[in-house]
Amino acid sequence: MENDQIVRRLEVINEGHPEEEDPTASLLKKILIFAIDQEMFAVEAGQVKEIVTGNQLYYLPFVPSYVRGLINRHGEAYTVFDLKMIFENETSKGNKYLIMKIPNDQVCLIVSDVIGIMGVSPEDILSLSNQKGMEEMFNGAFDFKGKRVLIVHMNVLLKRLENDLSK
Amino acid sequence: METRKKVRFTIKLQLLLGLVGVALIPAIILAFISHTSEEKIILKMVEEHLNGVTENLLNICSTCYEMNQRTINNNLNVATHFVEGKVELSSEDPLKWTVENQVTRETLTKSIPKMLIKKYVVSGDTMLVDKITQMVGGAVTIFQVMQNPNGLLRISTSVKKKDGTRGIGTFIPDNSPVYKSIVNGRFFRGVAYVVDDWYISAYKPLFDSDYKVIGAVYVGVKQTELNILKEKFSSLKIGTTGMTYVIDCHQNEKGTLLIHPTLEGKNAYEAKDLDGRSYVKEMIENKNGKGVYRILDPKDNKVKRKMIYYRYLESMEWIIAAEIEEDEVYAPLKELRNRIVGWMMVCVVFVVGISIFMARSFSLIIQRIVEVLTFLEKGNFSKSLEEKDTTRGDEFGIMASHFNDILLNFKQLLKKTKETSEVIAQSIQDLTVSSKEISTTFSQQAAAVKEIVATMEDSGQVSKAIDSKMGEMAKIAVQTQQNVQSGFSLINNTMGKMEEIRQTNNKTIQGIKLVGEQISNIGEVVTIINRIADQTKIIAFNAELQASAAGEAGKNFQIVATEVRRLADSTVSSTGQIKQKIGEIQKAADNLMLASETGTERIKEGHDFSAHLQKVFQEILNSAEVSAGSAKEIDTLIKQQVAAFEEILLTLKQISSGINDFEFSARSTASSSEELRKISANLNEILMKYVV
Repeated sequence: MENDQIVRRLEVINEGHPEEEDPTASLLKKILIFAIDQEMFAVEAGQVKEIVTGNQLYYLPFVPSYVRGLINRHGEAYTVFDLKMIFENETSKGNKYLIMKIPNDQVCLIVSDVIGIMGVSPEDILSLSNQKGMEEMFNGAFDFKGKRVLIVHMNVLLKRLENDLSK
Repeated sequence: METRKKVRFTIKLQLLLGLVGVALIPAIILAFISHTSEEKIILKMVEEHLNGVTENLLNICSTCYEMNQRTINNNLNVATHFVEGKVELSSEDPLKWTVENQVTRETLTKSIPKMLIKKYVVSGDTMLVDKITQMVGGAVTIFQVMQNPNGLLRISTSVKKKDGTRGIGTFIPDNSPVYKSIVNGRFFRGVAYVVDDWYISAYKPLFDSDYKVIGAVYVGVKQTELNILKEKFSSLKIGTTGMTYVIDCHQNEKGTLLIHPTLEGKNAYEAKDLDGRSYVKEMIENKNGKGVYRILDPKDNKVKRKMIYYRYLESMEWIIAAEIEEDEVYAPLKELRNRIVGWMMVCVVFVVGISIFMARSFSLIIQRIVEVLTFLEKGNFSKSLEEKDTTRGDEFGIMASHFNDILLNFKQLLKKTKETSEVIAQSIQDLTVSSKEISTTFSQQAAAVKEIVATMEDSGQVSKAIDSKMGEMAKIAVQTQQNVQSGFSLINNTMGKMEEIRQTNNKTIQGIKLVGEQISNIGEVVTIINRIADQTKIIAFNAELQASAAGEAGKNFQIVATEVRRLADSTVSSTGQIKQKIGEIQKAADNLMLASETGTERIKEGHDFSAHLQKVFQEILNSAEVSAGSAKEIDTLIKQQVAAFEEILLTLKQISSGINDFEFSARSTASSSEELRKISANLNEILMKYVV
């Protein structure tokens, strides 16, 4: 899109033309889609504070295997979760980190790539109650470009961490 | 066998003729020599005699002539005494003369002035000349020079003609030497024809007061007055048939016999002998000489050969001749010849008698030997000479004894020969068979050797062809060597080029590697860009997150962030495409690299192949050199082989020639054996005829 087009859209939004504004936009749920190797996952965009990349990963001993270590982000240490290790027991090869916005906790997910941020209608989000095994790790799924994308349930993930650390 | 010849000329006859010949031939030769010598002696004596006679007569005549000349001189002195003084011609009352040419006898009438001597007319007057003649004898004449016709006219003379008249009125013609001398004022001496006769003469010219010759005075002695000489001639005897005579040689009396025993006064100038020769004319022409002439003698009408010697007396122009009959000259010789012949006859009778006796004695034994030989000729050896022949006391007896011994020996020899001949005949028969077999064997060998020679010649041709081909092959090998050297050179060049290609390829690979590196660098750039885009996208995401967090206030920011993210996505997508392209390029570069490496490998293989080819060519070159050398050596060896082959062929030809010679010799031997066999058979056949 050219700058003119961007400026035009911005003018339309600012001028409040009702015909051009999506009326369902306020109902959509912002979802951030990312990829770990070949698999795509998603989190709620409101749970992601920031996306960083190229940070030095520091190994952390005596932690569960899905905790890859720590990264230094502006002088603050964030625990790095590796979802592939959790789901497939394999180490992912990503170098991007999704800094999660979790109160009283500083965690991040290591991902291979960030696919995008998109609004997903709640009707499009599928419930995973009928799925076995890992349903508690995800709070829904939706189809994106013909593929099913699982929405990671961060709270469950954190609880598992807490449980594992407490063990 | 030849038939016996009949004896025509027996030993007896030969001995007889031989003995008679031996006895008679020397006698005949001796007689001939004696006869010839005697003939020469007699002839020489006769010649000397005749020559002496003619010489004597010549001297006599010459002496007479000189005496006459003296007389003439005296007479001329007397006559000169009388006619000396003034001599002149009178111009008055000339006289008419009937003048006559004394040579041609032509006459004419002419008026001539009178001549005066001391005023006395002498023309037609004879007183003066008669007076002088009375004083000195001989003849005196006065001449007057006459003109038309020219001559000396006798105007006064003491000479009388045969009829008694004076001989005046006749004249000496101008062609006479007398006339020519007188008119030129000179004396004339010699023989001159006066009136009717020749005179021993002297003329003196008469001059007038102007010293002009007007006449002449003549004194002379008649030449024909030769009685004294005739007596001399007749007194000289030459044998019984010989005689001497004088032939006149003067112009008008040529051939007249001035002195001759029987024919005096006759002219024999045209006389010819029986051979047709005018012998008198021949004598006059030759003047001096000798000759033999066959002349018919009128006395007895017989042909007689006369030997004539003659001399010329120039002063009197006479031929003085002496002749004699040849029969008289050779009469002693004839007598001698008759005596010799008589004695020869006696000798012949004697010699023949002795010869017959000796011939009979010698020929008897020879006849007996001939009889025995006649039996021998017929092959009968049973006869031999009788004892009386072998006991003769001479050499014939010894010869007869030896003859019988030889005959006996020959009998024994013949017997032995017969026996030997039979043995030889058998041997020759065997030899003939062997020779034929040898000849046949040699013929077969000769044919075999000829076949070998022919085969060797063919082989020689093949060897020469091989030699020729080897020569060509050697040339081809050398050519191949040169070609291989050229190929080797080309391969070296190819190797050089391959090395260049390899180096160029290495450079290309380096370039491709460099390009690959550069592309990798581009990839890094793209990675950087991608990273930047990625970071940008992340920033955009972060911005979008922040805008979402900001709520309504962050809508615009969210839009911008979204667009930035899209741009980042687009960048990432573009960089992805770039990366893909770069990847493709890198892949292409890798493929190129791979291809280059493959090419390099191929080049290396080509290089290695070229090196291998070079090595192979080097080996081929070495082989070609070895082949060329070997071909030359083979060529040399084949040439040596061809030479050796030719020598073998030559030797074989010599052997063949030798075998041919042997074959020819064997055939000759066979032929000779055959001939020998025939001869032996003939010999046996001949020997069978002999009765021993």
